[in-house]
Amino acid sequence: MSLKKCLNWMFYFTLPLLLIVSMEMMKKEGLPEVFQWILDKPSRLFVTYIFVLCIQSCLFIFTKICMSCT
Amino acid sequence: MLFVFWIIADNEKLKILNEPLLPWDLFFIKQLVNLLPVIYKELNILLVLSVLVIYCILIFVFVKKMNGSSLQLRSRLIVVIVSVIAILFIGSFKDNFVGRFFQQNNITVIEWDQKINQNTNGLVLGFLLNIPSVLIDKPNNYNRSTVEEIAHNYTEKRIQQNSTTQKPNIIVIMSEAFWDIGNLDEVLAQENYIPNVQKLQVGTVASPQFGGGTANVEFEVLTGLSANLLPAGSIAYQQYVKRETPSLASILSAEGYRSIAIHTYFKWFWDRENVYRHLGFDQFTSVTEMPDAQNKGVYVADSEITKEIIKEIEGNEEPVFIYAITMQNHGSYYDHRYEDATIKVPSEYSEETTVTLNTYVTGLVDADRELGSLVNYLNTFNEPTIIVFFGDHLPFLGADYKAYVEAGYIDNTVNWSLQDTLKMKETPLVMWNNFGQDNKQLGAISTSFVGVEILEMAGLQKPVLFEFIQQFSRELPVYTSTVKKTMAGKLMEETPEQLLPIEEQYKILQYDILFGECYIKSATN
Repeated sequence: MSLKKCLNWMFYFTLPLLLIVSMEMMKKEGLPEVFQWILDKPSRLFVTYIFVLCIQSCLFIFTKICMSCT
Repeated sequence: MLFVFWIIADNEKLKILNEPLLPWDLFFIKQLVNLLPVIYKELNILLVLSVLVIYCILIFVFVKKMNGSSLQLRSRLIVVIVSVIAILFIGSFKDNFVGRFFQQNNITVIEWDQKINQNTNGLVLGFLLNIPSVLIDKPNNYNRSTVEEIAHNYTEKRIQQNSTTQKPNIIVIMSEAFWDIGNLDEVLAQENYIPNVQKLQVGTVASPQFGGGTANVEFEVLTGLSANLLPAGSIAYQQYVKRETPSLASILSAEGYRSIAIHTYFKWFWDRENVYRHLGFDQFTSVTEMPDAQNKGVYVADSEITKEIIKEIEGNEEPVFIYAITMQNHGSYYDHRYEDATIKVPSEYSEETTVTLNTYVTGLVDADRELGSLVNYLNTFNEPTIIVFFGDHLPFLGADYKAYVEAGYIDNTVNWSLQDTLKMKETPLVMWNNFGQDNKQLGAISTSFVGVEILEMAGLQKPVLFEFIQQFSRELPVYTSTVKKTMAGKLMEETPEQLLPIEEQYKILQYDILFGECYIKSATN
């Protein structure tokens, strides 16, 4: 696997995490509070991550199919 | 981008309604369209425009990058199928391994305050945890003609009634966690902590809740509808009372009453401020409107509610309907909130349970004394008045039903018999009047059927819905999710087969009122 591909996949799997953290940052007071929230109960982050990753996968592929059709 | 829109919608809703975006909001898009002119003024246009611009740029970049394809069609299909299955499992977590994972990790929805729920569980998970409460199935036979047919049957019965000439004041006191502690053991029974309630008690109410969730009890009493017909764990006030809903308040207002809600806590709790408006209350007095109210322990004293009730019945020329919710004896009880004034129970329990019982009983005695003083006052009051007094649910007396198990009130914490299940729901019910009408003994009734009995005692014409509910209550006086009781006293978990048709009618009417087209309104006009 080329480095570019590897980075692409890393980005793909990191994106949900970034999204969750940024969403929580908009709701909480700052990054320390978000980290505290994660450390309090990592299982919450785990389920959220899986859910967001799945939604992201569906949306990516759906958009890709739409694009190739047009 | 979906998530960006989610955040915007969430922020806007928080700003306007002080509540985060919740799954059931998706069903109110029609109302949102109607509200757009109002919301438009509140929207942060700059933020929306910025998001739209970023979105357009990203789409453009994405299109550029999409020229090369990295995944084969088969792989894409597998990813989509796996993702969809995972989303479905997470979305319907109640009955699968995801639900068990939540249980093991102590991840629960905080229904009583969705803002705290969102803060604790996060934006996404806070939303997801509410999904099971959204799925309300439309009853098979729900349509205009079925509702009209049910309404027609009960309209005919309604015409035979006569309204009384002088309408009595109606005071309903829902006393926080009020329960006869004498049920716990013989020693406590002999102490006779609640003499006024024992003297005036006409039966018991079977609450849909244990230890909390007061909003569902209120919902049942005020609307006559049943929490049993809603998803388990849902909170009707937070989730389903989102539009004008017929209730005792609106019915009595239409009869010339002034309907007043009094609660010695904050308006936002259980979203009461909005719900009471939907239920048709003319006035809501919360702790904010009672700046001089004295606390006893942590919360406002029950005596303040008595003062407020007397102030309202004396200050209004028209008859009043008062729905008062007390707060003083709210759990948890393992503090020393009353210090030297605490009653010491004589029973022998573990230290933690003894402290809990001492605090609880002190509040209980105060609640009973306040009922007694209100009855004494009304005995000499020159207007006909009804008092209805009941506990909203049994108190939470320690984790895993600690005090109940220690006392041997229940054998264990799981697998209760039907008798034990009912025991853990029943609180005393008082119905009293100062105009000499007999206080008929009611036995055990569900809180959904208290409203019917109030209208009956007041001699007021019942609307069609309450005619139906009365008929239903004569078949199944106790109707909760875990235990039902027939008029003959037989306990059961499920509705007996011969009563399924009338239960179906109940479902149809409830669906019509909360989620449907409200055909019952036009059918009874």
